[in-house]
Amino acid sequence: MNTSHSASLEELLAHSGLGDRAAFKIVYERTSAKLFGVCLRILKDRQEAEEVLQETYVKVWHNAGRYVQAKASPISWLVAIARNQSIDRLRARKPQAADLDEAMERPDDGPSPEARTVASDEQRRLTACLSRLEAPHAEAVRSAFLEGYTYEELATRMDVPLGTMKSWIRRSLLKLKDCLNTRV
Amino acid sequence: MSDEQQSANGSGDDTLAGEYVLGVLSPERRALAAARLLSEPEFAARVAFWETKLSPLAEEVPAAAVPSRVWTQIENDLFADSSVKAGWWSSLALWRWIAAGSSLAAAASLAVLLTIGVPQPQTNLVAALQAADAGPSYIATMDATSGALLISAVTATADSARVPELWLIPADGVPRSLGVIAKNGETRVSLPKGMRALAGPEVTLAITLEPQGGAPEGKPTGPVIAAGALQAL
Repeated sequence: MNTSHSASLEELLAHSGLGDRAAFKIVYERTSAKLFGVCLRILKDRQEAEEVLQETYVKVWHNAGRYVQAKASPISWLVAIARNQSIDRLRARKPQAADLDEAMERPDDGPSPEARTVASDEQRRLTACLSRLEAPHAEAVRSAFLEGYTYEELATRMDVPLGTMKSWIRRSLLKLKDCLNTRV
Repeated sequence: MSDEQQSANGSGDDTLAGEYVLGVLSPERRALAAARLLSEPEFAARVAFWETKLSPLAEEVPAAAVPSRVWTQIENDLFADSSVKAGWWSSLALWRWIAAGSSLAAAASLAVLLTIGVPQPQTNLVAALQAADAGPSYIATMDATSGALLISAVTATADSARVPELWLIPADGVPRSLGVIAKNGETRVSLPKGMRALAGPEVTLAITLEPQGGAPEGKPTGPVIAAGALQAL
């Protein structure tokens, strides 16, 4: 198979789905630092983030053939897998979740060029739609996505009753959906 | 409860899909949503909408240097040859090879033997699923504590119109759907907490053929194409 470093992530994933290991390795090289950042942010534990990253790419290899049917951009698809694996791991922890304020080693590399180029219309639209929400509501949505907090954790951290947090998020989702579906 | 009422209609499903993608649901509700994701294409489409639309948020997360051992582990998991190494368990080539020369029940026993001495802490139940005669066959492994179940097709079903659906049939004999599974390869299923206590040695796993999207009323309607009992490792 003709796998080159100039191929797009879409092509590389498609080739991976056909069993092309070289293509898969390039996918890993281009995206793993980004996905590792996502896993670390949610899990706040290097050891666990490494394990989850490993599970993520094993899953990517097995599902790459199905990526073709996904409508998402490759990076959205990969981020979704990494986040799902991370959140599942987080929820599977023993009842006493890790101390949320535990100091974590914040990686300081900037976003990879690959990830940067995806900063597309989608991103501008999401930012615009989030800015139409009340600031604390947008912040709740943002930190749920990035940190993997449950409703309970969000309510505690933002110091509002659980029911209030649920209605913030649910109303925000409905507003976001309307806004995101509107052509800007 | 208003949560459930809300999810009965379309906008409730949109919200539930968004909550699932954000990750705010309790583990129980998350597992339920994940089960629907496997069996309801319409719900899966709602989830895909949010995954796509919200993923730009990940832009602001800084990338982090990955230790090289991670790639080594991935290669080991995926591409190590069929000698006993990490990842051998999910090697379908190995299963096909075993199944070709022996009955599937014997293959499961061999799995038990191979597992002794191989660190496989996540797995403590195994089942070989097969019909009375030759036909589609599957191997299921499960960690009863976490409810994580992995089912692998050894021989896929040839039926192209219908989809295989996995059922847990505990002592009361009432099948509980574990969702639609992939025709080929592996499917990971996470048992909802309430169902974990039902799974254990001698509990039956069965696969039926159902219409696209899964059994309409949550009860099996199609023929059982494979079944087998869980055994403790």
